[in-house]
Amino acid sequence: MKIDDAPTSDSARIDQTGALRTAMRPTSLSRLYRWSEPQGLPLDEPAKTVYLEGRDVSIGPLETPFPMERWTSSAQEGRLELELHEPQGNLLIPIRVPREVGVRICRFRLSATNWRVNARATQAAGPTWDVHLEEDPSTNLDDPRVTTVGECPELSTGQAPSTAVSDQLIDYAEDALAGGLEGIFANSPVSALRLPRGEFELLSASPFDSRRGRLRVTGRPSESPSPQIQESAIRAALDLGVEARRADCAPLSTVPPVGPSPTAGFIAPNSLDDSPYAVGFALSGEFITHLLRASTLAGFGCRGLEAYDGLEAGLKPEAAELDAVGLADLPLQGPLEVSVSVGGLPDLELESTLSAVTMRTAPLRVDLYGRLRGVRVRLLSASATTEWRAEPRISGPRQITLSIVNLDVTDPSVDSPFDPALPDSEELGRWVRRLFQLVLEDQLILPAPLLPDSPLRIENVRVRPDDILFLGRLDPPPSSRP
Amino acid sequence: MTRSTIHIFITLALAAALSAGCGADGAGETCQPGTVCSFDELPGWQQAVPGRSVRVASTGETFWVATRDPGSGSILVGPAGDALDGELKMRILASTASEGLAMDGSRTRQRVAVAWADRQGQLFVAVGDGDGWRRTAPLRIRGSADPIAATSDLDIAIGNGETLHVVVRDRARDALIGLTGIAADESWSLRTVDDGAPGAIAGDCRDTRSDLEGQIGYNPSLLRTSSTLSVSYHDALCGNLRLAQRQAGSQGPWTRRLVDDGDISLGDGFGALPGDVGRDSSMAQAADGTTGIAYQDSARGRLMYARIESDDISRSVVDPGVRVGDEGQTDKQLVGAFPSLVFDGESRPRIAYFDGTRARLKLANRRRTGPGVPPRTVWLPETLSAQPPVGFSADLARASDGSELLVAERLGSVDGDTRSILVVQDEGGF
Repeated sequence: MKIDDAPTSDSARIDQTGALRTAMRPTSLSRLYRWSEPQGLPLDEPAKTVYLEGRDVSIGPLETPFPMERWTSSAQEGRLELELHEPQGNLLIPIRVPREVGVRICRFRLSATNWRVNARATQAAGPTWDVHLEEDPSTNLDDPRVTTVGECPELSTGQAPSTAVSDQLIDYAEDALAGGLEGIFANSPVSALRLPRGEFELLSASPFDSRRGRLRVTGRPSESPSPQIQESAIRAALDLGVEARRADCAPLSTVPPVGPSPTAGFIAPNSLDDSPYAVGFALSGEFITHLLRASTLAGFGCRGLEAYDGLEAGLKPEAAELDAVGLADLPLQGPLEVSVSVGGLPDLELESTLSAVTMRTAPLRVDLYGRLRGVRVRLLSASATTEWRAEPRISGPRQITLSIVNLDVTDPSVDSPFDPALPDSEELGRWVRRLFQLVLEDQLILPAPLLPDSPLRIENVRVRPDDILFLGRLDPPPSSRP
Repeated sequence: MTRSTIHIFITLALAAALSAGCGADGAGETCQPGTVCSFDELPGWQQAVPGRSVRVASTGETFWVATRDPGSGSILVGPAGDALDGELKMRILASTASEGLAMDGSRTRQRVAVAWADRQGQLFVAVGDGDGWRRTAPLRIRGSADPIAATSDLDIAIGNGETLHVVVRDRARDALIGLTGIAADESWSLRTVDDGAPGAIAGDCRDTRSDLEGQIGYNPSLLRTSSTLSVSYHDALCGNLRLAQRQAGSQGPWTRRLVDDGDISLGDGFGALPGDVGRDSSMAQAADGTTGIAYQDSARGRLMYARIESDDISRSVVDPGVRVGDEGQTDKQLVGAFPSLVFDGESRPRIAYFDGTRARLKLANRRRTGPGVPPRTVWLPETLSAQPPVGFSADLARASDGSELLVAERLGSVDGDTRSILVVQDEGGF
């Protein structure tokens, strides 16, 4: 996958506005930011020239993360607040002192209790997720003390610098803390969640040329609905588009246009209250169908035979019950391999009452390969029109798997160069259905609409009438302390 | 000729033949190593001839077929001309052979040579001419007490005079070794072709990896020309096809080069996938001196051809293994296993191979499509008429009169069981 995590280009295709809607508990924002800055508050303060002890000296620069123990966030209508607190910290700051020849670099340690930095921000206007600081961040250090590290006769007697030097260093440190928090807010809260904003290109990384279609997914902050900061949640929506470059293995079809923008309230204002989840986001059913069809067209439905090194976990011949089709006598070596191809674009229907989805594919073909004389040989092709109901199941931190609960096949057929002894049509239908179930089980994976480095862990998924709702928590941030 | 595919039917079960003439050890008891033996012709069979690891070679205008009976392990050999008349007179050369079987024919010396390994890893060679067959005892290495631990990865080529060359992947040495000797003497000289040591080929995956050793020399194809001994073989660790060459008459070392690393570029910054080429390969030389290698690209399920120049190797896709399906989509077909390369009278390559998806035999010809220097050419793959499932161990040979013979294994049903059956197809069926 290639990611261009940047504002979308003018030519980017959008299929549905507001296709993805998200709500985040404001108290979770601090954890999200802490995830993006695991080492601490990033200080990036340039050097500053001041007049001290009868000469111009240069304080800084500082380019270091400053560990902060507690990060807290909250929201009121239209306003975010973020506060960082470190009960006991110290900061090493250099000062460059010019000499007759060259420069002496003196180092000072600033120690204090209760390092605090706090800022408030409001939602920026327009189709953006950006926030603006209401005013410069406020900082506070209790009982600051400055000591000299090593020798610095120009600015310090022993380990005690003058008051003027100490004051300048404290001012400089406070500026650095404020700048660091300002830098954090430059990354908008929704961006920190790692929603798919920007343009992403996905390629089916198959060794077979005919399977190499491409999928370009575009996400941009939505105007409808526009981002909202409320006491209960930070809400934002994403307009989504997907463009498929057809792979040769895909059916000769075109993806029909996606339905209208969803109008239903995707996430109720208080849906996260009294729940253990920090974040919820809902992806419209219309767009999921669209994505599924586009993925099929881009070749993502053509699967199998790609692990030519034989490492792919295959199907045991006994599991395939080859005796039912008269092929049990073949001198097979090792497991069977499967190739799947789709003859048409699928349909998807959300069934909220069953918390399931129903998918129809017409026709679906499964080729069974076995190893004979050391090479892969197709033993048979089974094809049928299928309709299967599946329940979403969480199968990874950021993905769900659609597990089959019911599979129907119509017009089943089996073809083989090995002259199989096929059973009657009813039995053949049962055999094909069973084979398809074996092959398709756990194969339909729906990745959550998040970038791979998102800290969100999906813990619940619900099928609703118009969308699939994902609910999750943020993993604990990595510790910034040794 | 208008005849095409012939399923060889000969009378009598193999077991009966063994008990009648060759004893428990088959040919071993009736032919002392190094002597010329008659190897009694088997009486006619009523069943299909077993056809595992089938091989064909020509000695001028005569084709010879060798095959292995998977049930008994017997190596059967006989002139194929009779096969096209509906019968095949076979002799048993050995009765404990493993999967590997190699054969070469010499037009100028009217001889055919066969090599095989038994289940204990002992390596044997037999040479036949108009007078009979001469079979060696298990080959030994001259000046070495270490035995050969032969695998089924082997090939043989007839050299000058009585000289024979064999390449075999030696399990104990974990290397591809080359042996040279004569059928009258089981003590042969050895020279290691490739042990996979790092640094042998610049830029290949072993080049800087001292931890990668062995697992090299699979399915070698040996070619002996007037000046050069060449062998193509598979490097299983790198998934590469390699070529080793040395002067035919000298005792000089083998030089090695990479024919194809098979790596698959995904393009546009998406990186590459590791490839896997040359698990099967077949090397031949045309009358105009062109040397080519047909080989399978297992990763991409296609058939490739490499033209070997002195300083350069040019590669082309012979059959990409695609077929347009009913819904307009392109279906992937796994083709290119068991390639067998010959050159026609105009030095154009022809390759027989197996289509694993349809279990059919295919033949690809290279044809000129327009003027120009060099001329524009195109590969034309076609499916042969032999009834599937057929094509395992496909082997194609060309005689001095331009006729060709293709042999392969069919997995067919005999008395309700799946058996290996020898299939012989002449150019009428191409």
